[in-house]
Amino acid sequence: MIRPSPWLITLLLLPGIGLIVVFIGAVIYIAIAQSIGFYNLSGESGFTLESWDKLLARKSYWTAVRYSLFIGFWAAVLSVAAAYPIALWLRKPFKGSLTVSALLKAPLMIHGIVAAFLFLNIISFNGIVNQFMIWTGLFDAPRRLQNDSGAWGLLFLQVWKNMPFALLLLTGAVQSISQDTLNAAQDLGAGAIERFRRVIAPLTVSAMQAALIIIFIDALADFTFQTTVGPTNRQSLAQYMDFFRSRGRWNEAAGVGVTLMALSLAGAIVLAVTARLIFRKRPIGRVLAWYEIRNKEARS
Amino acid sequence: MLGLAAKDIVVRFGEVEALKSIDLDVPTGSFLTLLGPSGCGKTTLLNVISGFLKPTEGRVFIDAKDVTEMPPEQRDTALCFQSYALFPHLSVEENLVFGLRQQGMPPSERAERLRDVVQQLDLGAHLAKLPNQLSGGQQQRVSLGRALTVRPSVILFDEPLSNLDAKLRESVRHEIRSIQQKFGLTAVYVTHDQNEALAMSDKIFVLNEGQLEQAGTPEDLYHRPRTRFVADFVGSANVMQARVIAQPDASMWQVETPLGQLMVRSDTAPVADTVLIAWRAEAAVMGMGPANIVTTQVGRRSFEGAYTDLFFDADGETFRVQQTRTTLVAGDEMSFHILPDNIVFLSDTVSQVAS
Amino acid sequence: MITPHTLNRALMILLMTVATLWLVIPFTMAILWSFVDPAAPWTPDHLLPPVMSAYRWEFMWENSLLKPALLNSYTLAPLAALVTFVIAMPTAFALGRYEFRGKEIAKIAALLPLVVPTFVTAIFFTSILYQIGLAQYRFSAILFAHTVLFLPYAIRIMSVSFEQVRQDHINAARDLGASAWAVFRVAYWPALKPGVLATLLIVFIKSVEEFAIAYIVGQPGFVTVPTLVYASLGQDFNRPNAAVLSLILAVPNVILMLFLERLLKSANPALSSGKG
Repeated sequence: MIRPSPWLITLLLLPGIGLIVVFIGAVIYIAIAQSIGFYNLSGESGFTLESWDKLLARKSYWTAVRYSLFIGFWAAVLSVAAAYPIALWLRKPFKGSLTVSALLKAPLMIHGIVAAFLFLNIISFNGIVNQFMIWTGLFDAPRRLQNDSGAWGLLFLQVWKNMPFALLLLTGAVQSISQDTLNAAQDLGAGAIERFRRVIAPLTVSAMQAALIIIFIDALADFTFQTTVGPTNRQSLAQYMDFFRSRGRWNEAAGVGVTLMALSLAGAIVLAVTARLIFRKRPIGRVLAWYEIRNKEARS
Repeated sequence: MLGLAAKDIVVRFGEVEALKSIDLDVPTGSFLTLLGPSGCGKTTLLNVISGFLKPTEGRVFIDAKDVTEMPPEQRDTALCFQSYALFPHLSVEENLVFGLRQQGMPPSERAERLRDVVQQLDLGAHLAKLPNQLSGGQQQRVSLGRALTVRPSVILFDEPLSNLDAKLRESVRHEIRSIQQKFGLTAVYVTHDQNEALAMSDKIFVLNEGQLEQAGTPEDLYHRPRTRFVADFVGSANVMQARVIAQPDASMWQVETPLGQLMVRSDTAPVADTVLIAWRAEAAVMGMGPANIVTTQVGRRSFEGAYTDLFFDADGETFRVQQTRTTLVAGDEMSFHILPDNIVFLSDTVSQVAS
Repeated sequence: MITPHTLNRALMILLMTVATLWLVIPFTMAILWSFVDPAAPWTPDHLLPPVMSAYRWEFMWENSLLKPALLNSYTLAPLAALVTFVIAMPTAFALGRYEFRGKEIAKIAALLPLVVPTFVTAIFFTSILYQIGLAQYRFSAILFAHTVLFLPYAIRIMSVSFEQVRQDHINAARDLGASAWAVFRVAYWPALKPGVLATLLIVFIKSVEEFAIAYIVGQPGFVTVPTLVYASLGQDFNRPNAAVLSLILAVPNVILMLFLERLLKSANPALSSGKG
């Protein structure tokens, strides 16, 4: 490839990357600034931590933080855990595997709001699930399943929508492991679980991390699923933020927004690092070994 | 004692019969090579032995124990892959002890095994590296080392040298052989390279289209090929049709061939009146001799370094003789003779060959 | 002994059952509900709606915000696709054809809109709009936000397309005396074409589907198809009406997505569909 002048590159990147950086930068900046009292739409502006104090003192704030983390974490982990066995099963093509994979990935194409409606329709008071449960005799009478307080319906919907995405990422990663590598492990005595733990998971850890992070951020900041099928006694962070915004309490909305961004970042890092630590400690070990060798060389 | 035995192995993939009743005996500590062209079934047989493929019929025994139903991870075999199949995310050291970890061997013993293998293969400088930081030859050694650390009852090689350059191939060949002998390993080696097979093996098993063509020591196979396929595949011999016209004594036959009348010494009688005979290009000795003198015209000459190939035509067929140093060029007349011991009868019937 | 073959067959049957449960039944229910005639409500004692008609569809067409929503969504989407495409081009060209310092950083920066939760982006974008007094230009504001939000997709697809233009084709064309236009047509266009179509299509689909920006920036009064469907699931939840709207949102998108999937596969098998 050619090495052009930095000016040309800057010029070319400006409309695309430049616009993105300015836009997202401005959004983040405004969120942070408003959370500490600047850019007020009404009244005086100026540095104050008052809205943070108020926010952090609220029980509902901490409930929302815990609840959103709970949803984000479990949506990510369950989706990935469900996608792995399927990705491994579909690793080698067989008759009908394309159909299976297309069927499984179909929820990717269905809009979240539509999915929420389909789900509501199924679990409604006179819906097919209630009817089925009464028919099997497990329920005596129809039960109210919508907006269950345990958020099981919401989690189900999250996994329904996100598992295909994890599957998409993991299928590619799993397929790029050569059969010889897996055969070598098996030949040396590794059974199915050991092969997963020592070969498959470490080799697909990047895809696993990507899936965990993206699903986590998506579910952490969920608004539509929460407001349609989620429990009514708790609010997600996005819902909480919109609650303040719709009342014109921008400073508090900004505080929640900053929380959301910070949690996205922190959660993503924690998930990625944990996944790597569980399945791939070696690189760290190798860095230490390398460091030791360097030290020895330096001393001698 | 047999380190490895396979009895009546048949493998069918739908309609296709990949292996047609193969029997295989490998004494403990010996080196057996499965030799054949691609598609002959040698890798299929290797997969049956290692357990990755369950044979349609037949049994596999390792150290006299029936392992046919055993999955690969429980079999006491270790396979060296053509692609090396090193774990890309593990260091050389971790690759080497992978099998030992699976056995749950305590770290102290593991370290001892590792030290032995590292010393043997001279891998000490690379232990902390990742496989993709190594050259092809080094990766090959790690792959060999990974199989050696588990000290398997049977070590299997699937064309392990085919990704190396010619020079390296030769040295690794000797190394594999000397390690195998030193540890007394039972080895099965798959290759399509006849030079490799001849140089390394105690015994060679020539496979063709899922069937055993001939089994024997390298010398046997080279000097006494039994079929046209073996004569051709192992060192491309001259093969021609011959009609038996007389039998002067118990082990001597007189035959009519495209090169005239020749004498053949053989302990076995020809299978029919008209048979195929084979002789090696280097068996031709320039000048007069006691028998089988051929005089002809050089058609084409090809200098190969260590020797020179001289081609000539007789009766519409092309033959080849090999000389170490020669001044003969195309168009020159040449005379050579072939000792009757150096001509063998092949067992294919002529009609089989014609088809 | 269980052979892999029978195991696979058993798994297949299990999976088909699951797939039926999780796709066929929900959609069949939605379709049936959309055809329930108000004359006879569909009560649990009936397997199928007692009276079926297209009444709900006509009613929603005439008496809801469906028409403006469709108009808004389907003018926004093609415009967003075009603008995004044009803005992404120079960046994609630089990333695909040039080697430069900081390229990896540029690639990561291009992903920023995907990492910040859209709801945060939406809310503080409106805040900015209020600050600079442009909040009343809802259509343009949404168009602008969509453009930035979907730039990552366009940049990624187009830069991969540009990478696939082969230098030897360009050199061969120039060696044979081709003009700049001829070089473009013979060397660039064949490699770029699937990427161009895929970019336009993916931004179109994303824009039609986008909810957070349209919902927050569009308040009050500006509707798109997703915000309308969302509203129908809210306080005055009417199942037949919601069914009609859901299908209007879902069906065209599924068809477009299938088309896109095919296009992406032909353009670059490694890319395949992004997140829905």
